[in-house]
Amino acid sequence: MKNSIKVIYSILLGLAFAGCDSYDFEQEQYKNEINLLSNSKMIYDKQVADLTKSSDTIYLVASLSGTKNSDKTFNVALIEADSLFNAYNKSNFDIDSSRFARLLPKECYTIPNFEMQIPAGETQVKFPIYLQNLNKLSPDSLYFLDYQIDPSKTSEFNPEKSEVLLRIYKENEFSTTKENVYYNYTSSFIITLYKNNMETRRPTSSNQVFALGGNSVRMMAGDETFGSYTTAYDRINKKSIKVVIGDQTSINPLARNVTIEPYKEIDVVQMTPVDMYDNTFLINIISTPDGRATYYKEFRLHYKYRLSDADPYREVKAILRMEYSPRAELL
Amino acid sequence: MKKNILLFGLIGILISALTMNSCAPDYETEFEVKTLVVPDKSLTPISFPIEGGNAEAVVETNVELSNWSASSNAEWLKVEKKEGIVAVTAGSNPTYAPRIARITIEYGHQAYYINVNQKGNSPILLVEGKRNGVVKSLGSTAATFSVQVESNMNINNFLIPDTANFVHFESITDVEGNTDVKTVTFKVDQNMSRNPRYSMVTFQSSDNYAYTASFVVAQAGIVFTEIPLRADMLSSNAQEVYEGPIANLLDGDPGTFFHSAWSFSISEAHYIQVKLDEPISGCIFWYQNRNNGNGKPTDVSVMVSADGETWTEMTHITSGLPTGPSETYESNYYTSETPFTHFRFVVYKTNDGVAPTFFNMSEFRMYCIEE
Repeated sequence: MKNSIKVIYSILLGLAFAGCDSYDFEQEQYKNEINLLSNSKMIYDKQVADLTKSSDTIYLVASLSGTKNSDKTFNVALIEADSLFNAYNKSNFDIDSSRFARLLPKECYTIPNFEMQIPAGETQVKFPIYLQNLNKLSPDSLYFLDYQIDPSKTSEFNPEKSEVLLRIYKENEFSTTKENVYYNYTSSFIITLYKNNMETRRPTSSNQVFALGGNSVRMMAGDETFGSYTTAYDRINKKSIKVVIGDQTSINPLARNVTIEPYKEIDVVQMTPVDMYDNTFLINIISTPDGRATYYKEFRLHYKYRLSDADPYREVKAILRMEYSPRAELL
Repeated sequence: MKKNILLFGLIGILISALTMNSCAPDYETEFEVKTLVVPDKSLTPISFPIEGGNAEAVVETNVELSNWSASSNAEWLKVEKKEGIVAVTAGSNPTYAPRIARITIEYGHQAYYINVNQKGNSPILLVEGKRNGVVKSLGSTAATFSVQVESNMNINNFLIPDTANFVHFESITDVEGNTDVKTVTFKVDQNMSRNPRYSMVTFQSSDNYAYTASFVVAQAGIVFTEIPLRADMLSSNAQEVYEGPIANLLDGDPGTFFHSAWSFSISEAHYIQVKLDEPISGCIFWYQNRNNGNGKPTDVSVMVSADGETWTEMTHITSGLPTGPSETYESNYYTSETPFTHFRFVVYKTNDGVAPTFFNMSEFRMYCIEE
């Protein structure tokens, strides 16, 4: 009797295992599909081009989804698109075409391969995009590349992630277009050169600095402001100066000579160095006796400007300072 | 049962022995810690004289020489790492300013910094023998002046404030026999005000912007002297015949007056004219209105001529002229490109008429710059 019960239990256990073996586990796994890497808004904005190089490379990434890596090679082909780009402008700016984002001009990039493969066992392929001539781009405009998967040459892809907007950012040692960079006025003077009644102001505000080229930035002259950035185009053109950073000075390797020029319309005259306002860009390291150091990037400027011929000049003696971490910049 | 106890006991002893053995230290593993220390004494700033020199920074380390680094951020400062030291060498400083640099001694993420400075050549910059305090006094009509500047640097900046920019750099020339001395010449605008004015001129060199010399320019205010006018020097193209002879302009009596023609007409604008004894190149004119309400000039052209034949307009005044009874007016100082002997006050409009129309005034004077 006891043996019979054992036999029955053994048979039932065997049947149970046999029943499980016929279940198709693969139906619960994600399948292998190609998609273009982007955020939830279909924009990929994690890369910043370095303006100090004559050419820099960013990547458009096609990745392969799926629970398991595939054992076959996937072909990925790209073609230009504009639907995301148009949707971006419509949803952000509606009919205000003056603020529309722009497609990156052809002269500013090269894509050597529009068709690549994700090898068997791997999950992504990077399409290199060589960027150049970015100094010709306005720091006040949004630039994108818009590409989508070519369905005729790509086998299995996710239609909801088949197009991407690549945001083009640029940066140099002094600023970046990826985020707002402010330098603070320290120990600065703005003197309005009225003939009979000079007026001196001590700015303590900050000045937003925009990256232009590899060694140049734009900032507002003196304590001029551009107000709301969304409507500031004319004010920026009228009131901005361009600062070009040059070679090391002969007396301090941490200081570089700068040249001050009009950005567009402003009348600006660079004046000769006086005191600490010596027309340099300085890495200022302020050390404490216990060995700790604080690092600042500083523009030390001396110039005069006026917004119209009828105005008196305003003499600016400025130290524009931004604290930074040299180690963090190496990350 | 006893057999089992013995068996379990033996197994327990065996496990304990193995455990103890596994805890035994591994005396063969090397635990030498690599360190690099630059003593505080070597971290003090290094100062080099103008001619340069050598210095050393001690490095206490057990790190192999090839695995740590020493570098300088300036071309003029050479560093060389050796066992236990960093040798520092500076060449001579040819500039006129002190210079600084920084030495970095690194091992991994650990870094030591040593600041280095070097003196520069002593700059010389003197204006008329002084760095400050020289005052250059000029007359109101001075056109140029020069100062002697002595410097061993290249003087290439002449700073004149915008608020007192009546002085303009003209030229810099060598002084024979002394390469360090230059003659710097400036142009000066004529002072058209009766008040003196001042400007500070600063000399600056790109060899050392911080080392400057300056002097003060003091320009006297303009001094005018009245031109003695006589009745025979005055004339008009439209003298009224019934009243207001032109000689009344010079009698010093504001109750008398000159009146241009109202009893007859001419086809051109009325004027008064002065023929001077000596040519002048500029003047102020002054007049007082007649003590009544009409015939007051409001639009006037001032013409001058060297020969009484060819006339040029020195100025045209369309605003600011007084229209009240007995009010006075003093003009700005006006100049002509060429000296003149004939002066004409032409009235195009009055407060109640357009030329040709009459006008009147009680007194008239002219002033020129006192030589």
